[in-house]
Amino acid sequence: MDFIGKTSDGGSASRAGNDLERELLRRISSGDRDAFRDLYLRYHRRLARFLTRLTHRYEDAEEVINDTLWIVWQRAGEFRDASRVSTWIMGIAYRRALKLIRRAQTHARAMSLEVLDAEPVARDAIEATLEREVLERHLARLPLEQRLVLEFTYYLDHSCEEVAEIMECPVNTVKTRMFHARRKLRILLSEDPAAGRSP
Amino acid sequence: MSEDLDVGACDSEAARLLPWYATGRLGAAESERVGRHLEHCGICRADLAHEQAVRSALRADGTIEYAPQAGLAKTLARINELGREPDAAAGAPPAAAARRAGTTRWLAAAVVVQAVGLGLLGSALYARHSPPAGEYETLSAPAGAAAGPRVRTVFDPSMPLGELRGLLATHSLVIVDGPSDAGALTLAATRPTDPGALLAGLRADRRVLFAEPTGRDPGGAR
Ligand SMILES: [Zn+2]
Repeated sequence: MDFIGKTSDGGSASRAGNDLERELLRRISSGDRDAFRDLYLRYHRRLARFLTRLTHRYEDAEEVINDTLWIVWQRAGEFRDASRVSTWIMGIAYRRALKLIRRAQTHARAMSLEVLDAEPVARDAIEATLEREVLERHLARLPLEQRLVLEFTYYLDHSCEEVAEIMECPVNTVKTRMFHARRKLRILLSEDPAAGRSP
Repeated sequence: MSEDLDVGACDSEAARLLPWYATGRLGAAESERVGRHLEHCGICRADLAHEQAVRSALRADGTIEYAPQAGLAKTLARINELGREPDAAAGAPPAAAARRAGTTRWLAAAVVVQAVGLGLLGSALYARHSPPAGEYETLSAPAGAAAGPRVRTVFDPSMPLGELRGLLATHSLVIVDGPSDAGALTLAATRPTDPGALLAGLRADRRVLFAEPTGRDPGGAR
C-alpha cells in the first residue's frame, strides 16, 4: 500500500538528471565552458538557499558554491560513475561548507558570541510563509550534523546511502542523526506557540 | 504536548526509514517493508504526515530569488586565470584582462589569510632547502637551487601554516613565487621528481584546491 501519492519522484526523473549531469561533467573535463555554465546554474539553484540557511549569509553561501564548482572544474575528469553526480558534488560542497562554518565559529568565538542567537531569527523575515520561517528558526538550533542530514534528505532529496557517502559516515549514523533531528525538531515545534498545531 | 509528539515511540526499523519513504528514495524492498508497517502502525502514519509537512515547509519557495550570474562570472574569471586550459594554444586566456577588471575579489579573503600567514613566517617557507641553520634563500632563488619541476597551487585558505609546511616538506617543495591575485603559489621541487607523480600526490590531498604544472616560466608573459 502506498501512503505517499505523488510527492515521491526519486526514480526516473533523477536518473535522467544524473545522465545529463554526467554528460556535462564529461564535457567540462575537456574544458567546455558552456557545460560548466550549465552545471553551475543547476547547482547554484540547488545550493543557494540551503547554504544560506546554513551559513546565515548569502556571501558565505556563494563562496561555498564558487569554491565547490571551481573544484568540480578542476576534478571533473576524476569523477567515477560509481556515484551519482549530485552525491559527488554535494560531498565537495559539504566539506567546503563545514570548513567555512568552522572558520566562522572560531571567528565568532574570538569576537564574542553575540552573533549566535540574534541572526537566524531576524534574517528571513521578509522571505517566507510563517510555517517555513518557524521551521527554519528551529532548524538552526539543531546540531550541525543532524541538521545537515535533514537538509540533504528533505531539501536535496538524497537517499540515506547517498547522505552517508556525502558525509563520509556509516549509513546507520545517518539514520541515527535523522532520528535525533526529527525528535528534537518535534519538541522545539511543540514548544513554540507560533508553530500552531502539529499537523 | 500530546503523546503523538514522541517520535521514536515506535521502535521498528521502519520508523527510522520514514524520512526516505516520504521522499521516495528507498529501494524497492525497503519501501515495501515500510509500506507494510504503515498499514498497521498508527504512530508511524502520524509521523509520516508530520515529516511530509516538514519537508514541504522546507521546500516551499521563498520570495527571494538568488542571482547566480555574479558568482558565475567570478568563478569563470578564476578559471580563466588559474584553470587548466586544455587547448591553451587556441586563443590566449584573458588572465590579464580578468585581473584588470578586478574580478578576482572572490579570493580576497583567502589571499589575506595566506599573506598574513606567510608574513608571519617571514621567509621561512620561501625556497628554503637543506635546513642548515637559518640559511634562507630569497624569493628569487637562483635557478638550479630547485632542480625539480614547478607547479602552481592554491591551498585551502583555512589550512594551518604548520600543515602547509608539513605538506611542502613531504613533497620536497619550496615556494618560489606568490601568492598571485588569485591566491596561487608557485612551488618548485628541490630535487628531480616525476612531475606527473608530484601533481597526482598534490591533487590527492584535499587541502590542495588546485595544482597544475607551470606552463611557462613564472613571471614570463603568459
Ligand atoms: Zn511504527
